[in-house]
Amino acid sequence: MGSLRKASLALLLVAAATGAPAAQVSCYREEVRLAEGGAARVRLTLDVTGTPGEVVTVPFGHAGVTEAGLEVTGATGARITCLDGGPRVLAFTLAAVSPGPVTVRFDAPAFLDWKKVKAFGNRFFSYGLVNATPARLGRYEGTFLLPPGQVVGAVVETVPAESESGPRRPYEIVRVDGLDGVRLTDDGAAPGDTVHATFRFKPPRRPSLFLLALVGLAGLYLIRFSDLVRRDT
Amino acid sequence: MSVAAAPATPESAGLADLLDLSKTKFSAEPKTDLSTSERWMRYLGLPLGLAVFAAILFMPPPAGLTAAGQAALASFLLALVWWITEPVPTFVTSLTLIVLLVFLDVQPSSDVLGVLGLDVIWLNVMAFVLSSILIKTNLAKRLALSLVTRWGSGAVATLLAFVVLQLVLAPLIPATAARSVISLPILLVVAAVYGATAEKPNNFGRNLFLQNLMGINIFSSGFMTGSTANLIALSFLAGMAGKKIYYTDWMFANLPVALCGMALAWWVGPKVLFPIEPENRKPRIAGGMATFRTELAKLGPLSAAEKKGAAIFGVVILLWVTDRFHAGWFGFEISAVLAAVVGGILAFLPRVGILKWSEADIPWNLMLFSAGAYAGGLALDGTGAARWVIGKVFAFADFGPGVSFWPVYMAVIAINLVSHYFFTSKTMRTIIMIPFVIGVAQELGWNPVWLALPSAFTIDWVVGLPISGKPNVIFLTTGQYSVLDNVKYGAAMTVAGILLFWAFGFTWFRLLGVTPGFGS
Repeated sequence: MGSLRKASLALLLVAAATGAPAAQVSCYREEVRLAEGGAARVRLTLDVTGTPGEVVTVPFGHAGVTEAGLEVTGATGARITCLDGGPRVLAFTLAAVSPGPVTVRFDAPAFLDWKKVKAFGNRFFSYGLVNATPARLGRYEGTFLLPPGQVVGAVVETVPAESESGPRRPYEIVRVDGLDGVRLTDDGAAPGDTVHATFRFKPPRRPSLFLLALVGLAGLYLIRFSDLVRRDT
Repeated sequence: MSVAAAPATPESAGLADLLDLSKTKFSAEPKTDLSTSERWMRYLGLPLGLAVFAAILFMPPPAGLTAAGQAALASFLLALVWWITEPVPTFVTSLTLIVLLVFLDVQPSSDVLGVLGLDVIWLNVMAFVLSSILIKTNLAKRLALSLVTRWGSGAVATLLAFVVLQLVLAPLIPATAARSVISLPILLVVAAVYGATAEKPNNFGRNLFLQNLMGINIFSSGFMTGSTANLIALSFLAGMAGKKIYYTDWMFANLPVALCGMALAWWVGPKVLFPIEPENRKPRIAGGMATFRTELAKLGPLSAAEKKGAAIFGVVILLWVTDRFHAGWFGFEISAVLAAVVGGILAFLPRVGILKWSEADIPWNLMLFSAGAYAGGLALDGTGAARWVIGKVFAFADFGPGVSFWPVYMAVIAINLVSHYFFTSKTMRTIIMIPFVIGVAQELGWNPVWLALPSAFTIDWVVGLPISGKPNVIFLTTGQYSVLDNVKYGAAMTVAGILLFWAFGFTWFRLLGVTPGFGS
């Protein structure tokens, strides 16, 4: 495995040094489906243009995932590595005949510490991706979906950040297949750039006792303040 | 939302007493003499607010809206119903809103409570300090008497004089809040001349304050520099659609709309909404105008205190008027709020100043009202609830391909004007609305100017609620009118605005090429 890593890194360096047209990732789509318990099912969909057999390296933001768990279509020899000891990247070789985008599916068993519950029953979803490759990444689109029965409480922070004068928000609240979540987008990430989202989520339950209290309050008010509309007042 | 206690009334006191606003207290109890309809509103308002709150809070989470956004929307609408119907004092409603925003996990308490430190609240506080200068030194009395003796032989003429005043001030002082602060003391004195006090508001006072509120906001739309929001809208047009709009383009196109709007406001207030009582159509002072002239003459030449007051106020106004040059002069820009704070410092300085702290009557209950209202508005913005509502409205309108321009224009204008009910910030509204509108135009293959520029023209029409704009907040604190009065006048002017922008879109804007020309 070590020699494979060295070979891919060498290939990359050779491509950069000779100025050969390296493969380009025009779109990096990532869907994270979180399950109760904190595990996640992840699907990466990468629109890549390059020559068959070319080694492509893309950022990879998931800790605790090994190559053995990767299900790849459209490419071969997928491996997770670190360039110069930096953040993790995913390297793969483009298939001889490229039928479409490269997809990578895998499970991230410990995506989130489910036991960590904050005030108001909130859990925090936090995910970031650093472009640790030497190439510019095209459009990034990360869709982070919650388990059934959970809703987005509020988006705490994103990178790119929401601009006070910009026309577009970098994120939107989405519902995909009945699952609530957040979609983060970025027009492009240069080497070293980061995309990141932190949001809180919780079950949408409102205690029915609260509703009863509201009804009770309204009723009590109507009785106690009926003198407001009596004829003699 | 009533503020009490000018001790003098026109029937019982002479003009001197009436104009002595130093006896007026703004921080007082709400009024208790309610009409039958007001009592019913008060009675039903509380359960109605709770019903609206529960209906939104307990509905299944809608797609695209966060839980915080849903709770913010529910809390804000509860507060809105209560502010209008007043089952509890408005500041209590604001306090309730503040608590709900924290208890329902909309925003952390530091964010919600921090609203009391916002510039609009500071400006409100300083507005009353600066007003106190003019009132204590008799400058407000002198200005008001000069105005009344020249223009004010009748209520309607006086109202018109203020419309003209706001028209003159609009291009000179871009900050609407600053214009409100300048107008406030003069308005208070003129209202008193016509028998309108905080303790006993009348329809002249309602018209006077609400019309000035309309004037300050609507005339801002007549000038490109009338508000920051106008400039932001234009930057979107330049950045997203590549269209540059010049000062004169804006003014020629939209100042006529603003003038017509204010002409309508001047007419609809005293003639339809708040007909001025016959006894309040003339200054209610025995001896008529001669008494005013005598009282003005009695003031004599400017006293030293008046000169000092004028100098302090002059410094503040100078800073307001010259804001665009500050960066060159000082290396930074002094905001309208900080200019007012500078005035406050000068006013309170021993020997140099003219005020003692006890002479600056600041209605803190109404500051709390403003803070709560702003917290609610900011929560709608921050949680994306306002954006979600606007998105739903545009989605509902469903401008499909092949649709003709004019129905879309009419819908976009209406949505733009009505949308101000969901925002406390014109800037935020501009940031959300204008790109939406440019996107709609581009999707339908039209020149974005046709929809976006008329939309930008509507941005300053923030007349519907006491929290829709800074002038609205500042004037409500006088207690001369209620939230409901504001809602009535604001709704009428919003409808009038829609009709006006439709009419101008079909005619004047077409002639200028703002909307598709007659040949297209």
